[in-house]
Amino acid sequence: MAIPTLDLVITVEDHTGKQSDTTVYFRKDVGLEILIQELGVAGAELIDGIHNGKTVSAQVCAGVDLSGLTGNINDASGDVEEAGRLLFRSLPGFDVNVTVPAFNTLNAPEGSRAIDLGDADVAALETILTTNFVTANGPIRARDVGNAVLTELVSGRESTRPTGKRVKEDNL
Amino acid sequence: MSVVASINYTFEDSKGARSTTKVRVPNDFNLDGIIEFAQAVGQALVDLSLARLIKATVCVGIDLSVAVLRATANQLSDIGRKAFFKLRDAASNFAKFLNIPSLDEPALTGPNSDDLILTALPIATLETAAASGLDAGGTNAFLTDNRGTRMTELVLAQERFRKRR
Repeated sequence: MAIPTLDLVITVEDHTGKQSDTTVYFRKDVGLEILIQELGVAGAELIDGIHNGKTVSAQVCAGVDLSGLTGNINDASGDVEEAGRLLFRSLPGFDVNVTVPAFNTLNAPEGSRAIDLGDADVAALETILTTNFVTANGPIRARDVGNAVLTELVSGRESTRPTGKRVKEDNL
Repeated sequence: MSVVASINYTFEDSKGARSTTKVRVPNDFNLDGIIEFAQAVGQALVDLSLARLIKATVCVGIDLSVAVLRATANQLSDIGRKAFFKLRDAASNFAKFLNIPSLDEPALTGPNSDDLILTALPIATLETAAASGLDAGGTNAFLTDNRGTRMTELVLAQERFRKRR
């Protein structure tokens, strides 16, 4: 169950250019979700009065309820460093990478690092990201950083990447 | 305001290692709609992964050009110097600590004290926000802890020093 808060994350910079974040939590009341910009501005002004640095950015984050997902379990063979890198293309032709941590190798052909784009699960992700997804509030579609829609899945490849955090294992 | 909002997914494998991935969506869309989309994308990612999806958040950048903010950092500003606040829910006694970087010196009660003046305007505003909510476009937003428990009062305000990263 998602925690019913809107998290306002404000980044403050001092005169040497060093930055630090602070997070203020607000109750996600009915109606407030459409006032995110107003909440962000009011919260930033409140915090700005207390510090003497420069408020450089603010973002509001809301949790997503994941309790309805099916099959959301840990497999013993799963390793988040073994990722599937799916390369999408946006309307102007820009590349957009979507990484799937602990990629299930059953979705890749034996003896190859290439991901099978025809696999049903891969195709399902492609469909949801590259076509209009209908919600109760209208259709929505994934974008690139410039707000252009994603149009196609170009390729997929298994890769390993360090997460930066290593888990200490016993008896090694 | 940035043109896109991001949906951030955090996966955790059986060893406890975590990794994140991100999908972007337009930020001029209704938040409930983005959350509905985020759940569907989350399911598609779960179907492709051997790890467990433990967290997903929708983050929207705020346009600060309309906010009344300090234009430049003060020469005395230092992010290692924090304004430390303890907020509390009077009924349950749950507390939330808030550290605001780069405390403004005049908020202190005096040269030999770490206490902040609760009646000074910015801190008094925070106290009011805790008690009766912060006005966000006509709707009051209530301060909570990270579990959603509403904080109702400001009980401590001090200067603290933390390590700089």
